[in-house]
Amino acid sequence: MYPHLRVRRLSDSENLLEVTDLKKYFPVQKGLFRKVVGYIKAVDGVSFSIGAGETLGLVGESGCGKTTVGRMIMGAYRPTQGSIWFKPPNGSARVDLAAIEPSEMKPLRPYIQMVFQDPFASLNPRMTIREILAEPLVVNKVAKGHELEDRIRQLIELVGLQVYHLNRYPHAFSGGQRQRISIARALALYPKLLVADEPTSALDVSVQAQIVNLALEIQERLGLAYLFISHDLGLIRHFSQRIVLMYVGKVVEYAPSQNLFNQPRHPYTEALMSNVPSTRPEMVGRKIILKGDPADPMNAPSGCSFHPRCLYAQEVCSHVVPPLMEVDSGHLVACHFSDSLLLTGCDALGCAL
Amino acid sequence: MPPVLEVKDLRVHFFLDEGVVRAVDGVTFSVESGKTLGIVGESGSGKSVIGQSILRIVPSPGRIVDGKILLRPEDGNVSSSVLDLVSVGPYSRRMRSIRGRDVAMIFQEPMNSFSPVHTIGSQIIEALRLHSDVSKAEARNRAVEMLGKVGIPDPENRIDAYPHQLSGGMRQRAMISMALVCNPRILIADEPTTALDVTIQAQILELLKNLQEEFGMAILFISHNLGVIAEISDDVLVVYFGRVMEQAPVDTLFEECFHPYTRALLMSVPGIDTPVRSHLATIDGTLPDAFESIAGCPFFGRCTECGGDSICRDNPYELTEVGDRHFVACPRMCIRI
Repeated sequence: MYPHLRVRRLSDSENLLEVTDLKKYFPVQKGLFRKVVGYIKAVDGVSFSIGAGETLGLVGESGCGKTTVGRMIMGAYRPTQGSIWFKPPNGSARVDLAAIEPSEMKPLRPYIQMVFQDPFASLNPRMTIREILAEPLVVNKVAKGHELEDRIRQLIELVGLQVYHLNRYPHAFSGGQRQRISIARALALYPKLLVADEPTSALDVSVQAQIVNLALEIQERLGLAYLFISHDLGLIRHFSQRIVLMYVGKVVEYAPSQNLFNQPRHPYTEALMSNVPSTRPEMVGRKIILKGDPADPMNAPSGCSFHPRCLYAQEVCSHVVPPLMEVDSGHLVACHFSDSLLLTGCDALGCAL
Repeated sequence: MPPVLEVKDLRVHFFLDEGVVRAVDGVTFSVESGKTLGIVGESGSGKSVIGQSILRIVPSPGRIVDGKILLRPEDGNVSSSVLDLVSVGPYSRRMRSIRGRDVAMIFQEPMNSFSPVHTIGSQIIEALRLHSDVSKAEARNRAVEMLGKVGIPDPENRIDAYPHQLSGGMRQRAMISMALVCNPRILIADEPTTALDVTIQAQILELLKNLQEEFGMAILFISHNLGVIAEISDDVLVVYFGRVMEQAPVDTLFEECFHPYTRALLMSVPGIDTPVRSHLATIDGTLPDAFESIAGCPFFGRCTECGGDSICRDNPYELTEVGDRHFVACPRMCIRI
């Protein structure tokens, strides 16, 4: 269906965005003198890449650091370590967003835009839709006068709303319509990469389907790349070409969508898939109920941070951190036993993701 | 076996300055002991108000304007007859003795439903001592035992923890243990796993199933997540605009549902047989205006299957039996059969 979107490899230098060994530690302060007593390792060595026009799904449970990764790419947080290589579409050399000064960041901002989770909080209630859509164009001196009005009309129609909606305020719109406005605002400056952080989590399923369709349509028309951050495996599967699965700040599995779902190589992937409730009662799947809670990123377990909950954990898992290794073409896994474990994929598990 | 709870033609209306919102508009269902009834619907469908009206905690300006909520007396208690909860005052001593004792509820976000300044133990013990005549020490023992049953490790010490000291999954377990400590006959669970991660959600669903087997209570499980509903329910109620659109045993509903709304809802979730990156089926339009009173099918206008048939718009709303425990409120279906 999308032949031009071939699956890209990690070391491909044409990548639009390449994240290498990204880390973000938040200091934990205590006492009168705000002494640093520890660090929350929100993101602890994450690497992935996004090609032009591609969708990368970033999935994980709450607290795994997926949102922090998105914010670092946007420049909202400065990484503790690692680099975020971005290739501007104007043909100049790629730049490391993690190292550049804010003044150098400004000309790059139009290329990377964001859509947030809560459409009720991300639109200014005192601005009309016209003002909301005009703001990025005016601030970046992209358009004014007739040109500005034309662009605004073009945007509102692109996301399936009408021109007469432009004079209304955000409160007059439903959640799904507001999310459309957020998308229109993000598209105003002709971005190349859209970071979508749980864009449909606050919406009902029927509205979610509309937004997903819209996002796919826009991608086809404009050829932009998505970093799609979500906790919903079914949605990620539907949407992404490649998937990064995170657990407590680290990447556990990074693979093309098909491979991840059909031949998972990490026990966490297998368990997570089996836990997704299915709407097909006849597909009585095997449920792998994990013990305990996700690890605390402030004092993550030694070795593999998943080992206290892992069904297959052995001695070595508790003290040696498994490196992220390529087990198959384009399929990276961080597990000591990824070769010897026989894990069941989505079909065999009977999960109807 | 007679059902432990029977709701008949329940109508809950909210009287606002702008008009009347018919949040629940003629809902009928029943639950048996040891069974789970799933109530599924989109936001604004009135599913939570159904749960609230059983406990008589519908927030003002909402009022139960019509209908019956019949609670069967406890087994062996021959002296009392079937009690209609609608006739009991919401602030009465009688109602307070029913809440927590006969009907208990667990909520979506346990952080907001526990008192943050009391330990979870003291809150569980309070519930127990209100409803049964037990000593402090015995109540504490029961609370510890209950916390152990819901899978909280080290319950002897965790009983003195404050809600903020527990993780989301543990808080929800504590909430469940508080709800079940008086051994209620009906448990209303309003989106209990929505705020939790997938792996924790699976743990809690498993726990609820096991506890139901042990205690035999009826569960009213309210959720917007079709997958969760499929997992835990015996029977499912599909609610839209304050009305039941379809009621069916869980297997029937997910395999051969009748109502176009149920079908549209199921189609809009990407599943294993949806081609990847294909267009998902959507439901066009939005919910009807909340202040409107609709005589016919509330899904009229968004429905793609009726083709704008005037029968659908004009025929009065009616739930018709189409199979064993299977009811549908679609004028066209009912006429065809």
